[in-house]
Amino acid sequence: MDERTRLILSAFAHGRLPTGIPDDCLYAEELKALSEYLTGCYRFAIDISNGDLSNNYVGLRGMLAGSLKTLHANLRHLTWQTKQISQGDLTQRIDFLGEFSSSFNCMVESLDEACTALLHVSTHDSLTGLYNRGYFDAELLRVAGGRCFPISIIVVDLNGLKEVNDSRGHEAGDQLIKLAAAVLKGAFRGDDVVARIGGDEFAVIMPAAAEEVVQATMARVQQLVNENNALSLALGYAVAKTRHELKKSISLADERMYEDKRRQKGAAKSSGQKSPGPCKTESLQSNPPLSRL
Amino acid sequence: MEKDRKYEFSWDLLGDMEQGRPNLGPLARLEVYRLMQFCFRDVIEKAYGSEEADRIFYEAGYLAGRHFYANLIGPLQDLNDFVAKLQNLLKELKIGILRVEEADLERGHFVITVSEDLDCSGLPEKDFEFCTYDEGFIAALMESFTGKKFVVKEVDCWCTGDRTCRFSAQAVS
Repeated sequence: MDERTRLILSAFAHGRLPTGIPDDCLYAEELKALSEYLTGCYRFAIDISNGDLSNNYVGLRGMLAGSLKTLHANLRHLTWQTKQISQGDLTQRIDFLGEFSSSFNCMVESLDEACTALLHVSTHDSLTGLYNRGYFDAELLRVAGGRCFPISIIVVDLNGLKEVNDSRGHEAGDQLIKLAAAVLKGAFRGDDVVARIGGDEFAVIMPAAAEEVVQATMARVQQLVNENNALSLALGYAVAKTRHELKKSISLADERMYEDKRRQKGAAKSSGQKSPGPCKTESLQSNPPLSRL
Repeated sequence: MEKDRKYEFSWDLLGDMEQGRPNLGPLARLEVYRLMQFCFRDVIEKAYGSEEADRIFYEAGYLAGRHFYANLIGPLQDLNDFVAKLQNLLKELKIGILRVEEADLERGHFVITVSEDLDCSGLPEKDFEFCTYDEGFIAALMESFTGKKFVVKEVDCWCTGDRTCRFSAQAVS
């Protein structure tokens, strides 16, 4: 072997890339090809280490380049997954980067938990655990665009809250609100949207619920109210058969709730009581007959 | 011609495994699958040439992809749901580990990789990409999901020294 070839091979053996390979040295063609291949792999590795994943060196083949391509493919997939996560897809998990995978997955799980907690806070009423006004409005919009008609809307007002707050303090008032929430939660179906939409106001969306379904539910509410002497509710409902009737049904349910409240006040007056309120169990069956929309 | 066909594919040709293989079950060694596939390739190539053999395998993969989507995946609207379902299925059926590098639904451009691929992982190195069946299979999946025609090309393959197979999928007008 000539000295020049020996020096070139020695450079390769020490991990260096020879700068020039003379045409007339031994195995010049093979050494040039090796140098070119290793240079390609070196550039690929540098690109990856610099975070430049734009070039995947398609023409570069063989096991060394193949290993770099695997790393490159993994990092590109990781990039895509991270973009997915940034767009709210928290189901992404990785399983191909060793310890980094478990740390990354822990991070996404924490993010998921935080998002779930935040979502719960932003959609629920902290006192009662029922849905809040914002969620109720959003659900109303969502069901309006869906196919689950007829939809029943129920508006509920808790009688006598102010009196309880004034006479027994806000803690007692809060207990009364919680009791009303528990009664409503127990009376409606799991998929119904039971929300606290104001201080003493509640509203419910019952998808796919016609007149007879809502009437049966009102009877359940009535029964539960009867079982709780501390509670008095004014209720109104209306049924929307199409999305065009939905807005009107909310107003109608509201009007009917006030009618019920007035009726209860009238009944209380004639029986010598001050007003419908807690410790009073007016029969909700005496609700005026509610005509369909 | 169509009337005379003996072997038109339908999903029921996969058979009832519970009834048919009560003792052995639905699994077989991968080598057996490869033995059949590569012997098919050999014979088809000898009869029709390399290019035609590749085309036939692409088309067979395409047919399989269409039935696979219709029977096991679709219909789906959301890209993330599609990717997640496909990833799970490919893993569950031990076809390969699918990862997405690029997914641009608007431009109709996707780059995906399949590791531990059923067809080629572990094969000896060759000078050419091997997974023409996979190309057709992926093209049919993309087409079934998007409703657009796709051309899929394998750009990196185990057989060219890569440890993972990389496919570029492009919608064509």
